[in-house]
Amino acid sequence: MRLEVRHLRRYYGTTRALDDVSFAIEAGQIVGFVGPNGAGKTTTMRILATLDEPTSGDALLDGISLLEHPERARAVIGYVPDSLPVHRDITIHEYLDFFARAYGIGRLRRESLIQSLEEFTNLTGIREKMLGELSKGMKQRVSLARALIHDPQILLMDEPAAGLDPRARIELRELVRVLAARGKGILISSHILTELAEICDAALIIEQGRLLRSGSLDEITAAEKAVGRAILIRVVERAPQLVEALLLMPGVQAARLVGDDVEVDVEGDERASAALLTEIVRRGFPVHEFRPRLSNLEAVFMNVTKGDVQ
Amino acid sequence: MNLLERALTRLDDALNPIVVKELRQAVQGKFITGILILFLFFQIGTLGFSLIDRAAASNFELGRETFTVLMMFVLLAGTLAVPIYSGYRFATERSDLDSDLLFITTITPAAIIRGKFQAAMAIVLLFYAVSLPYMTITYFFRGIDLLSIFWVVVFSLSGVVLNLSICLFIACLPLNFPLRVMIGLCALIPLFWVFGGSVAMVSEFLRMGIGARVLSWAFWRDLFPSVLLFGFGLGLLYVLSVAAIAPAPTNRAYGIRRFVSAFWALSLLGMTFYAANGGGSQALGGWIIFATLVFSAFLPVAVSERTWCGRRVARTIPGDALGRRLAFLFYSGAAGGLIWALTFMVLTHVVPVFALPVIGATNFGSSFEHDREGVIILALYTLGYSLLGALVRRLFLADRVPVASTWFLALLLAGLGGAVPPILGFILFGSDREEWLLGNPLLALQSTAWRESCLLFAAGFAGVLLLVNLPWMKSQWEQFRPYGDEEPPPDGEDAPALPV
Repeated sequence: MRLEVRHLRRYYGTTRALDDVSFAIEAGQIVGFVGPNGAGKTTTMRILATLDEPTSGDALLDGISLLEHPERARAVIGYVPDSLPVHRDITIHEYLDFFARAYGIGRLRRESLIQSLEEFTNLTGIREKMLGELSKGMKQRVSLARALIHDPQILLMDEPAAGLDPRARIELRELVRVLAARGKGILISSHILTELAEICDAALIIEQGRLLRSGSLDEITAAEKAVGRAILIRVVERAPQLVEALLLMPGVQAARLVGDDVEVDVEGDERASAALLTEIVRRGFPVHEFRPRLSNLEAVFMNVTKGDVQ
Repeated sequence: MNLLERALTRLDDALNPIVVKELRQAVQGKFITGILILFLFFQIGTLGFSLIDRAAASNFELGRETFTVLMMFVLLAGTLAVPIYSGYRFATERSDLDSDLLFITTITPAAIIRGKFQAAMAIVLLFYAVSLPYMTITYFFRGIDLLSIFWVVVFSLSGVVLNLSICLFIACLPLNFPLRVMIGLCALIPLFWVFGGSVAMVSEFLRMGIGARVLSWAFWRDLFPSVLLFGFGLGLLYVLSVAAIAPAPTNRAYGIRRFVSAFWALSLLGMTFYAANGGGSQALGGWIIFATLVFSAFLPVAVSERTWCGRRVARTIPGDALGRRLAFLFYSGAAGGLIWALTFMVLTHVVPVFALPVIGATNFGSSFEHDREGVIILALYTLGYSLLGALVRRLFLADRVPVASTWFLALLLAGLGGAVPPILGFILFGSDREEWLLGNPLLALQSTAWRESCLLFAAGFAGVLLLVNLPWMKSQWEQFRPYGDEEPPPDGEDAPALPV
């Protein structure tokens, strides 16, 4: 199954929530959706979940318009919103049973289906617990089980790790990996970028409704590297003097002390870096370590976004 | 699987999921159990008190009196406790999240409302079932017959159904929680009013001996207008509730306009029949006044609707000219809504004229023309201020006031229109002449002498605003087109896939 988003635009009055957003998700792919608060992540997800309608543009599921055939989309899309279930006086099992009924799953299939989902999300032992008594992590697992009840091929997860403790986050991450391995395409938004980087195949960076970067994680980070490179230098002594010396060298854009290291932004390619190292050694600085600072999703995110909201 | 199991499976699959969930929650919650125990305690207490009363032996009305007290407890539970409980639960549950989650399943908004209603009715019927044995015992106390008990119980359900619909409707309103609580508190007035009315109805039915009269033609004929009004209120609350919880991209107004239009036609036929069979032509006159007020109320609602339809709705617009025109009137949309309300308002005053010869009358009653003039003036003022609200919002407040709040802006403008000119007139010209009050829609209702001036002013006011808003309405009509299957996808290119 392929979910293709084409030129989505969404205006609320004169406020532009989405501006020409296009991307696609394939089966088995985990795509991280990254952006500051108010960037348009939830709006995109709500449109894909058929809960909202774009001002223009479309989303296609294997070529079928989601806007024109929302009922077909609902059959193959699962949605985990950024809030947790709030029903009172109902057990986990009854809650899942309710949604199974709501999806029109018949009695004969319902029981075994719920049981297998409870096993998958590790809820079997607590299935008779009231929803209101659950921790955030447990509620998130219930929410995931609920989203999977109709066996969707595409899963939209809006900030699923928000507020979870480290253990619950790790468990959730594992579940997401297993689901992707089963061939489900997953669009997942999160503020915990290091975690996203660990599980995602690709990422979308959005701000003020505009898609700033999209592609595989390697592509995104490589694109950042191409603009310039950051190098970390560790010297045995005279680090502050090295910073002063670096600032006077040609091709050096910036230099600063970061803990014991000296971080320097250099213009140019690997030859420029090699020339810089030669010059530092020539000037007698005792270099202990000289390595490029690895660019990661977090760094890219900080570089390309300004933190603006609309 | 045997036949019984197969039947049970089918029945289970056919159940509304909301009903199942609601009843499970009610059983596991403390409120219903608590109220039920309290209810039983009072029922037994009432019977016990009646039995040990020394004066009971000589009281030939004891059965009726005891039944009335028992019925009051049932009505307390049925018209107040359960509806308020159900409405409160729905309101607290109806966060964006929960309703959103439901709308990506196969449950329709109508099924949600029906499910909530059915579940609450099941709880109310539980209270009735618990109470019925005690009520039946009152037959042996003298002063009441079994037929009366049966009919009073049946009729008392009307109060239950009405209050339940009111509570569910308020719970559905797309307002924030504090505002919903405020409106909920205000709604206690009609809820208690219905409760009081139901108690009064029980007393009156028992006094007149309903058991003997219920099968007579005259009884039902006299009841007909009330039944019609009741049916309209109930149906309207249902379609409004469904529209209130339906997702924004859907065709929310369609169900409401379809129901009101159908009810308009059926009630006109019904009232004509009623007028011809003893109700008199003034009954038809009353219907005209009522229908005008109803359609007037839809004018500010219409301007608060969106001005464009999304593709989900557009793909259901018929391609033929007549179908498109009809769809424009009935589908969600500000201009269509205005034209729909105005069209039916005109029809309301024209069509019944053809019914006059059928009922053998020449007019709709002696006070009809006076009343008609009043509601027409009111309708014109409502139209004028609604259009003014839409215009002001569009020109000056598009960023600040959402379309859905245009009705409030119109209300505010009507308030200003009534209050500001006389103040300005007094300050600027030292004049306190009544002409300054012409912007006040209530002037026409207060003072008969000013009716003609008010009519002229309101007609001019509404007419000018209609002309000013005509391009806005026309553009909505032009945009109201079926979504063409042949239209290529936007920009016609594929989005790049992200590599795995």
